[in-house]
Amino acid sequence: MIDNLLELNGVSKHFADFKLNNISFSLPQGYIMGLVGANGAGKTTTIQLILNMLKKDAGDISVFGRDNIKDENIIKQNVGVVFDSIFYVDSWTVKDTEKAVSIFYDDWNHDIFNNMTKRFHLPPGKKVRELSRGMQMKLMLACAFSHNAKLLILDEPTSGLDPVTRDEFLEILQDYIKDGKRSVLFSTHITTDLERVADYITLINRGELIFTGSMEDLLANYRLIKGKPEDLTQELERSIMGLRKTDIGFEGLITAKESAMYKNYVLDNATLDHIVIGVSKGGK
Amino acid sequence: MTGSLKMAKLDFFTMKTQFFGYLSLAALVLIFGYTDSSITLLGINVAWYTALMSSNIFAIQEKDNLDRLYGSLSISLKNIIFGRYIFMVLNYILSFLGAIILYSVLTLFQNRPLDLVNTLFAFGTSFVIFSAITGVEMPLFFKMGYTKAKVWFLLVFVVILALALSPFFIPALSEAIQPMLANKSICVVIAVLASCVIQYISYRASILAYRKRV
Repeated sequence: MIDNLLELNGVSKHFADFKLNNISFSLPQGYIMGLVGANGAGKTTTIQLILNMLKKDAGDISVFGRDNIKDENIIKQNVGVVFDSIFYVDSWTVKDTEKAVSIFYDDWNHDIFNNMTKRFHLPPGKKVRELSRGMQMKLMLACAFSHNAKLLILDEPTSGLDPVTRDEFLEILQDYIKDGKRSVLFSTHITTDLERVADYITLINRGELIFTGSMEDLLANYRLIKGKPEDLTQELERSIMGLRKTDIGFEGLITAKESAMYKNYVLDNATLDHIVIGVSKGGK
Repeated sequence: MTGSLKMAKLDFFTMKTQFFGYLSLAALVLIFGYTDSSITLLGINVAWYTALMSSNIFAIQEKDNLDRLYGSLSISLKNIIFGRYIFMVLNYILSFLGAIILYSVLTLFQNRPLDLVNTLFAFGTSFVIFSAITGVEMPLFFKMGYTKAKVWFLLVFVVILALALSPFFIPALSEAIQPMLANKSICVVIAVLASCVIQYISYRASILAYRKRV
């Protein structure tokens, strides 16, 4: 049995104006991992490297214990992908989409596709371009589920979705990993979604890996510090990430380790949102 | 090979709504059939028309983010490209066959028998022109995508078509190539071989172009 469905070790990719540097993380079987970071942090690049849509400059990527380049075709038989926008021909109907995509999978199950389209209320004769964004996302999910994917890779699937559809989507994900044999890598900047479903978090900022580990560990690593303007010493200012100053006080993110020195200040638990914003704004 | 065939099938699915455009090719054949025009000229028209029509696959690929679809499917980069070449050539051969069948029916009604050697010569000429246009077009589209490569493609398209049609409009050139066309059967073999070589070189160039793009 493979413990980690996905492993990245020292993965790097250099572009003229952006560098993804030395990214390492692993996703155990049966869990959901959130891949977070601000826009342009390198989340999509990381996903494209995993899918071999981009050639990496350094490092190793293994999926189901296999090399992602050497065994690309075998791996992709068991990987489902959902991107932020639909990638099917807009004149295809839901039925056409199944016909076109199913030929590439040995394990395609027409009954599962039918059940999924019924569950998602996707009319078989409706064209892709006539579907709402939420419905398009569900069509991509239906395709991913119909070939019995063991690993689901989602790139910003919930951006632009209404709260009801997002909620439904998160329930589907929780259902999907219920048997403990499947995993999800979920890239998003809507951190509230991850707080609901993610067991692990990988935080990337400007192409650098900031944190990878359990959600609890990440939340335990940071504190939100608040105080009056006169309480903000130069030393404290240097320790704070994403410092926000107003006339009545200041607020920012501080590591749990450093927060021990500021016990007299107001210290709150940081949310994932605070952490992503703080880390992205930097300032430390 | 199986992966390439699957890719070719996907391309046919992708182009499904575009195939109505081939009705105008049928109209062109009808005009040629009724006006008793040269079958070689008909072949040349089938070549440029099919090359132009099939380039739409790259436009759809770009418009509908199909690179992402290809990236998510269980198919290698080589199979994506080889499949696209299979689609293009099959699309051309089916168009040519359709055109010739329609043309033969028309000539049969007019009691004009269809000469086999002339038909094969028309195929050879047509195929080499189709291969020259798509042979340059495909690596360009794989390298730059449809929008960026469109201008270059049209330039190549016009130049190759002008060269192909020049003997029909320049008598001196027509006279000069007549001795070379004395043995039409050999010309057909040479044209088909040249087309295969062009397609192969183009395929290798497309692999390099698409790999560099990713």
